[in-house]
Amino acid sequence: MSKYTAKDLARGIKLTVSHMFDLPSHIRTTLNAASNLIQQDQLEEGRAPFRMDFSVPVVDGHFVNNDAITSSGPIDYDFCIPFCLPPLQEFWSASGKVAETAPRVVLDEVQLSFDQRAENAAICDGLFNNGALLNEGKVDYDGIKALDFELSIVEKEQLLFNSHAGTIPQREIFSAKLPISAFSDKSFRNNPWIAADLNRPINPYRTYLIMLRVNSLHLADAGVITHNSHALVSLNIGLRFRHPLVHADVVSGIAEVQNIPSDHDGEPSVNASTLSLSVPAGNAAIEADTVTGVQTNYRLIDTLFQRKFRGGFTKDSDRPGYNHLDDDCGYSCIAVPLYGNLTNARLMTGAAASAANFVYSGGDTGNPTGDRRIITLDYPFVIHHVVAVTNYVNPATGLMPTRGTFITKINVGLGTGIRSDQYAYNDVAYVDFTPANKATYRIDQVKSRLNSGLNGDVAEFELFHVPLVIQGGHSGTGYTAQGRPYWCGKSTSRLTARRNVGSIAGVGGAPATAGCEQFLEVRWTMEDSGGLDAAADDETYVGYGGHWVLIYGKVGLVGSGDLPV
Amino acid sequence: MSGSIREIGTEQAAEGTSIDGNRMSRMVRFLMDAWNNLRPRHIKRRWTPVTFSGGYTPVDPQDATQDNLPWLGAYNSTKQTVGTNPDAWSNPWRTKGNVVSGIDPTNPALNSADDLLTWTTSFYFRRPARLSGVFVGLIVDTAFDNTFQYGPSGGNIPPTKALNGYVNDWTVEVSVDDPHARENRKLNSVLYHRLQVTENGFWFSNITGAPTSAMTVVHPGGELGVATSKDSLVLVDQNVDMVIPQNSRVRFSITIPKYEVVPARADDYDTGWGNNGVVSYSPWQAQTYSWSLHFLEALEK
Repeated sequence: MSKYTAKDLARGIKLTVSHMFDLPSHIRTTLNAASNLIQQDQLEEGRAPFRMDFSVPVVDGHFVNNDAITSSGPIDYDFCIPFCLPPLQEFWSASGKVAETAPRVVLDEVQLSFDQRAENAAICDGLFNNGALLNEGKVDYDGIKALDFELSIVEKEQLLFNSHAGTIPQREIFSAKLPISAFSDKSFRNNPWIAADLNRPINPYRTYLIMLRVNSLHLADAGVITHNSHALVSLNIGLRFRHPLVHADVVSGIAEVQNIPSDHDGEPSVNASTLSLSVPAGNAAIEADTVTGVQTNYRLIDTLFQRKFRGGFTKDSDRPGYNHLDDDCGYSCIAVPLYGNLTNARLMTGAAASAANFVYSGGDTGNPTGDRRIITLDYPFVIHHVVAVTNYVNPATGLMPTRGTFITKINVGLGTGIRSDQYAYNDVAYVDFTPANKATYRIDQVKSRLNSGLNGDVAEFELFHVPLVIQGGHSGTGYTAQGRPYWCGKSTSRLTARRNVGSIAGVGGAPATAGCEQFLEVRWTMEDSGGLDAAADDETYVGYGGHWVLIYGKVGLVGSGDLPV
Repeated sequence: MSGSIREIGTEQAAEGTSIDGNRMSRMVRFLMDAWNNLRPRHIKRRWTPVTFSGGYTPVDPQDATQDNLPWLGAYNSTKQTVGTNPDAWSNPWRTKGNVVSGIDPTNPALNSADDLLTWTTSFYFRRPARLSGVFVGLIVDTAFDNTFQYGPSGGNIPPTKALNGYVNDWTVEVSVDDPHARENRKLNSVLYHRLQVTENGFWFSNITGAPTSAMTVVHPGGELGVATSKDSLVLVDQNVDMVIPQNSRVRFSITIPKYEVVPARADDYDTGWGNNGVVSYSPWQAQTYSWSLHFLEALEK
């Protein structure tokens, strides 16, 4: 706590130089220290925004079948995406209790957008007019009533921390009605739609579920079906949060930050400021413009303010020469979609007809199917956790995979090679599991509601920990055993020397990317030695909307000096 | 006389002026307030990076035909409408600057009214932000066989293009809606626009070998850029640094052409974007997609 307090001078008190110079001396001491510099709470704006942005290529009438009736009535079709926001490794609590000192995360905004072809209309999907014509993607002004939604976010305890938490969310933290009128006006539409200033606290040890009710996308009309089936194209659900600034990851003793430039190890190369005050003796006369004068020394501090206080990182993974900010990093999350738009049905099951469409395997015995995403690195990013979300939503009574030979592999890699002379990867995080042993890595199971009708099994989604690679003696913290945080960032030749990285086998070594990383690659494969089509037809490998990989970490403050303005 | 104090307050001390407790207290309080609540402009680096990621893998075109969603026609017209047509379309063109020789959706006499396809995703920024980077990856592998060339087995090649020439007919755009007429796309401000990108300048790599150190999970489609006959397109633009005003609606669009499978007229063209004569030819199924957008957002309270 570096905030300073001073009382106003009372009438009649003897004026001394200490009245004027105690605060400047305090500032000098703070800035010249090797640590305990300017703290987060000294900043007027000391919270870093971060976003989780879920990009879904399509949600269409295949997801909605309003003819379906369960024992509890018609199904409500809630397109769901689960997520969590685990604390950074240094704030991790193995018991799942939020420590008093842990940063508080606040949900600030919820937004939703989709493509209306810039018209006040709905977009037809492939089922429109019973699929008799190739209407998918066409504009349907008469079908605007399809755009009637409800959006909510609900919360549940995680099974990892409370085995009695169940699978159904217990609390709603946000809900909103998105009426047709929001999207039907010719001159102004709320697309993107946004709800702001929410200030909803987020518990880092709980699972949240975004639920978008889209019942109107597919309307079962009696008789001739005309304007009955539509799509939310390029659906984008964005959440914006705030996280207090925190200290950068630094190498401390044997506790390494994997792959961090060893030139600075996270610490600024020079911590001391150039502030050099000339404080007069205690009983000296109070003067203005002399070397020890008030104006002279206040002017020095004023100049420091004009030159701005420094901290954070440069675009090329470097630290500024001087560092004044003790807390200069924020939280970050990248939501990576996988299997989000495979086949017209947007889901994959063990049924032969579905398995035949498994890309790369074509349903052949033993061949894996796979998906991958690439995310380029723009600014440095230190990965702290990776979570995978498996989706089993299949309104046709889908079940979770059960075959013991069915293997899911999830891998996050750090790569270099784009127009480069060097082509290499490092493993950053990895997990593989079968239905038999998946509980080892499971964080939570989620079902949107009792008798939801979106899946016939105990859960519609499961969250799994994808542990960071580890090197012996350098354990990190997280849902399961994993390695220390992992630095990812471009660099100049001066910063290509990096700290060792771990491996899946737990052995450390120099990074193969040699400090030249350019992108993250996320791979997710599924295979069954007996064939992906050997499962029961209802067994759902990928539910509607696809799987997700959520990459969490820490980003430094950036900006001025990095970009040509 | 010392220089004036500009940032931490308005009280200035100078020789020959009076001195009293009130003035001294004011100077101290100004400095204390400035020190205890550092304003954003006093922080050199006060932006945090934000990354959006998207993309998908379609069905193998050799196995099945997938519908064109999320790719929608770039031009709104009668041909692209079902049911009642409006008196006038709000936005015939959904994005700006799509020019592809041989495709003119505005000419109803041609077959090409639905032959430009755009995938648009939009975001809202309540506070000022900066667009710092754009990445679009069109990935080909063992299943997705797009050489990004016209031809190579002949065909009716679009005007100004050459047999075996690399396609340069796709567009990437980031724009902001006009603050006063938000639904008029003609008034959008274009922040980033890659028009007629020359593909052979954006190959993943000239390296044809496997990575020296691979990821543990082997992707069944093979490694990026390993094939010798084809390569992925990787458009990476960094240091974009375009300012996004407060309350902006940002639209990110990728536009690709759709040439005909079988040319019915002299002005139909049937090559490019994986069109190898397969009846199920769909340009949106010729590659897999990865994109990421990078923004900077300022610190806040």
